Amino acid sequence: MNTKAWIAAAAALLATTALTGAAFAQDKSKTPIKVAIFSVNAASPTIHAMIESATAAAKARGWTVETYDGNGDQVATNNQVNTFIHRGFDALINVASANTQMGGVIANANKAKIPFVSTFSGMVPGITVDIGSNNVADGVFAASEIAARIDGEGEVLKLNWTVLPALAERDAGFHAVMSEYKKIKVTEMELKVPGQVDDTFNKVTDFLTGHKDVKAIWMGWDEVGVAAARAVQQSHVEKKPFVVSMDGNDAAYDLIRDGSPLALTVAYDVRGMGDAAVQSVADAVDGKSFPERQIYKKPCLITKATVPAKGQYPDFKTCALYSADMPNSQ
Amino acid sequence: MTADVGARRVAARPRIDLTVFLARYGTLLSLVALLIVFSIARPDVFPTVDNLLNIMNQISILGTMAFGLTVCLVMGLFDLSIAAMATLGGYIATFLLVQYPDTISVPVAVAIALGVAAAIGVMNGLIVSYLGISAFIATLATGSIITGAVLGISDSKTIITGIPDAFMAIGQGAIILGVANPILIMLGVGLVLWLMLEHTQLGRHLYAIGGNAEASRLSGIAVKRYAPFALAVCAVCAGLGGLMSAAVLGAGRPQGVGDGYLLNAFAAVFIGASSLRPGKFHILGTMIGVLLIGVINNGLSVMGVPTYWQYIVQGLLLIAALFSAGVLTMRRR
Amino acid sequence: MLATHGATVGPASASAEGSCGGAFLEVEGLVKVFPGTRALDGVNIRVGRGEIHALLGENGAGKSTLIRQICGASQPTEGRILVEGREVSLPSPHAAAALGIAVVHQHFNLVPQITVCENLFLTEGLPRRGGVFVHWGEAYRRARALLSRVGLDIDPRAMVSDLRPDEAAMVAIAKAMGADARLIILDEPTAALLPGEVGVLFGHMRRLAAEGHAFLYVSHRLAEVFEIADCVTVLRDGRNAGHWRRSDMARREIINAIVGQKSFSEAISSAPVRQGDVLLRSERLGGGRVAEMSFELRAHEIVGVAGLPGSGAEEALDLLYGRFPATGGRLVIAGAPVAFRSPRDAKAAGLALAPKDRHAESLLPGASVRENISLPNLRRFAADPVFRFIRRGKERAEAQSVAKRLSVKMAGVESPIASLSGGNQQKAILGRWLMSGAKIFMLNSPTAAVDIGAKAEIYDLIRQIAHDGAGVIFTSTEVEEFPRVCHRVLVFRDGRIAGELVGQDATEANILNLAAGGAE
Repeated sequence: MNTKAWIAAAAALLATTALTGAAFAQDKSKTPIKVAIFSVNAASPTIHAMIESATAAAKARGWTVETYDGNGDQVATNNQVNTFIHRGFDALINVASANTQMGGVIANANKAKIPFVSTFSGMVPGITVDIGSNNVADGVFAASEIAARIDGEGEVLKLNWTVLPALAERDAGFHAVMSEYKKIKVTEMELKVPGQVDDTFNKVTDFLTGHKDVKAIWMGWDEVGVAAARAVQQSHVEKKPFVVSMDGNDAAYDLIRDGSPLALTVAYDVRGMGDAAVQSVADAVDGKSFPERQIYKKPCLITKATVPAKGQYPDFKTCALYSADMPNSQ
Repeated sequence: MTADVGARRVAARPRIDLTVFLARYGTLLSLVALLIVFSIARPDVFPTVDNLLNIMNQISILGTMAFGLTVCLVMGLFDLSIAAMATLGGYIATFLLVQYPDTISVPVAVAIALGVAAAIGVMNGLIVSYLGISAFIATLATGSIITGAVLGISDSKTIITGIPDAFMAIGQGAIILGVANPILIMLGVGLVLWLMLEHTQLGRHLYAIGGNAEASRLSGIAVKRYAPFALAVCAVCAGLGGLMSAAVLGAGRPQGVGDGYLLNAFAAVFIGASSLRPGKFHILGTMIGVLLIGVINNGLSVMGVPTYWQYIVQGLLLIAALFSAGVLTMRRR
Repeated sequence: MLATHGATVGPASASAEGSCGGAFLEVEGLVKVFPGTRALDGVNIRVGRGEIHALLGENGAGKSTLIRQICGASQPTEGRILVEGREVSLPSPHAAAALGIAVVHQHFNLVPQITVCENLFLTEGLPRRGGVFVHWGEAYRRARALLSRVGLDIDPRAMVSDLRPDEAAMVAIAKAMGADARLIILDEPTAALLPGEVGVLFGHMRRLAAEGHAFLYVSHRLAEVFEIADCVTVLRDGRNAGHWRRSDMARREIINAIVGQKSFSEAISSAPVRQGDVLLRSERLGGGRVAEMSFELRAHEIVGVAGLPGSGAEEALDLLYGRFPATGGRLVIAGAPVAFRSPRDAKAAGLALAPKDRHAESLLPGASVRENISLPNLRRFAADPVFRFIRRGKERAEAQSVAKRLSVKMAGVESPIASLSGGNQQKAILGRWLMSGAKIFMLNSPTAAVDIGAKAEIYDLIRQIAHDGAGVIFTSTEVEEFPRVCHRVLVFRDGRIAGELVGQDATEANILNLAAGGAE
């Protein structure tokens, strides 16, 4: 480096310092605050994606980020988050760990006067805001698509794991739709977790052995939706049923694009949720208040017509939620 | 006095003892009973060739893993790393095939995946034999390491596109007489391990070490060399199970592949140890245990019985099987 | 009350049934009948205050049974027990403890993984505050008091596993003395102790005796008895066989009283049928408890290796078989020097070991007779060199022929080994090595837990093995077996061969004398 470059660099550094100093007076979010991003089970692909996008967004703002994975242990997660609070973190972002099980932590965050923002974790008193999707509505979207495509009659299989609150909400949406269609015969099964993927495969295979006329299968989430699609593909039934599910992960997109029995998924903007969580933290530390504690982000219907190209992420700003908005809608 | 005792024992032999009979054949009888009950309940669906092949297909992954586990339990070694090993086997194979589509063929990918599993199994065995750590703990630890490593390499992402058809054929094809390949793989693995355990010196040594390690050592058996072998066999079978799962589903999952199989594999092997030759782990018994689990799950779901009953029935069966085996072992003393 | 049953054959004091001074405990005409046997047949013993009283006898002489009656673990069929002159009944160990009688068992009954203090309060429970929380301060204070009473200066918070054996022994004594024991029964307390540690223990015992505590001391080690005991009572076949005071103790007399006059019609001839080649030569070989040993074993020969527990006799067999590494010397098998790294090497060189504990070290418990016999011999049934498929038919035929040769009583070679009697199990294990064609048989207590008829068969079998050309090294916990089985006996003391007794000289008395430190 020559002397000029040195001077330029020094000047730039000075300017940055001055700007930061000026910003400090107004927006605390422009200062390098410390944020903790945690989940009770970060290994799940969807949760992992949210953590990644939130971490990237926070780092882009110059924040210090520390992440924590509870490996499925809610108690350990709560202890760790309390430690974060104790260590003087400026904000907490909970990615999909049930807020109902974190009451003590939320109370501590309130005492310490730091924001507690969550994604997909449910609304409970005391949180700053939860960013998620309206699971009941999503269940409705998926179920309505089935009802419409089979002309309101025939046999439908539904597999879900209603132990998880979000999945139970989707289930409620499914039931809300199906109760209106008396000619649709619904068979419901509960999945075994863990082992849900193989269990799905076996249950769908078993069911198709005895029920050759199943028209559609409603799956609670994409991980098992993919397995159901594979089971249908490999079954011997003549008229293969189609599968719908929810979440929108890469595996599901790939199968939809390939024209597999997986016909549709109600996709969530998981990256957007991570970004939105970080934005909410910034707003909160800057003193903005939130009129609603629960914010829903718009999902999209991903079908063969709307599925993004391989490796691409759907554009949630422009994507369709209703069939009429889709390109080449039938 | 000795002669008397001997004579009385000889005389007692041929008498049919109901308890002994039940302990020996109880699990087999309950399997037959279940087949009959389900056939009567759903005559149109359950007792069809399609469905019976379907059951066989569904138990093929569990069976393959349980056969491997039988080998280490014969030696008295608990392998808890099979769940992680299954995930590893499926993930490595799909990862290699998708990352290096031009250089790595399906057989090579399968060989590498199983080779890695074998290497980790050998490592498990070395830890057990030479560091003196119990297999239970050692495999718990390596299982955790494998889980972490796969999650790290995969970035938690499932591999789904780019998996060649030739690989998926392992799980979805049917080379012989329309019998699905997973069934053939399971039966092949079962046959090889049955021959090994029952009919070779190696197998007899494994049983001997499991029965009395010190007596085996004094009989000139190099006891320490067998744990790496047994755990490697178990690891390869687990990896193969995960690989089959990946081929069936056309997906290389970075987590949770083996979790559903871990406890069922142990249940199957222990149910097996209560059948035919009570108190002994053996391949034929494991096959019965696996079939029992498969038939319960298939039959109940064909009958539309809620899922929670599958857990309950399987648990009750396990207790009944182990109890009856225990009764016999106690009577023998 | 009954007078003495049967005559006592004690040479020095036929009349005095054990008394040294003012009696704390008196046992008169004690009889204990078990179905089929009179384990005690009118035993008398008197233990004075402050006296160290040794109780001697062979295995099965009635020592343990007597102790069980005195400490309330079992009730005598006939006879009286008096404590300080008053007749008492002892329905339970608790009742005995209340009268000041305490027992310290051979392995001290201590739990190694917990602290000294916790062990001391194991029976009565730790002191508590308000009945709930352990009062550790009080516990440690009382533990220190108990320990100081036996003169032990250790931290009560120390783990028992960290103690020296003599310290553990003293903790056990402190625990037994607990409340206020007046008579402490010690069952082979020195079995696990090194010579230096024995000295420390004896020092403590003498001091406690001087304070008025009495000891009833059971041991096999005559040298120790001479060192510590004030009186000696010998039992044989459930009766008193003699009594000596310190002043008139005589080693030979005591040994003769222990052994009695035995005659064995089938006692072995003094020499093997013929002198064979040297099969094994140990040249100053040492390792483990064996400091060093030098001897030769020839074909057709049965050599006994005798010694008290811990003398290295049993360990000699394990050392020769490579169960633990040799630390010095040389082993020559069939003329060639060898160094065994494991039993595998020893087996390959033609050695065979039938270890002492049949169930822990020999049997495959869940397996058949066939599988037990063929365990070390599977290779000979291999049909191919690679997979080594076992030819089951050949295996069964050979197992059958071996079992028949040894007349193993069983339903068939496929019947479970667990269905056989102890003697037949032992025969199957010997058959295992006969099948292997071993040239050197090492047998440790092959007749343990075997009934009398089977014992004779096993003796015959051992002779047959030697007759057929193998060499046999034999050891046993029953000294009386050596003269019956062996051509000559090497007697171990402190890890070395103290002497060799050949043929007619290898009597039980001579072996005991040599093992206990007497001259050859």
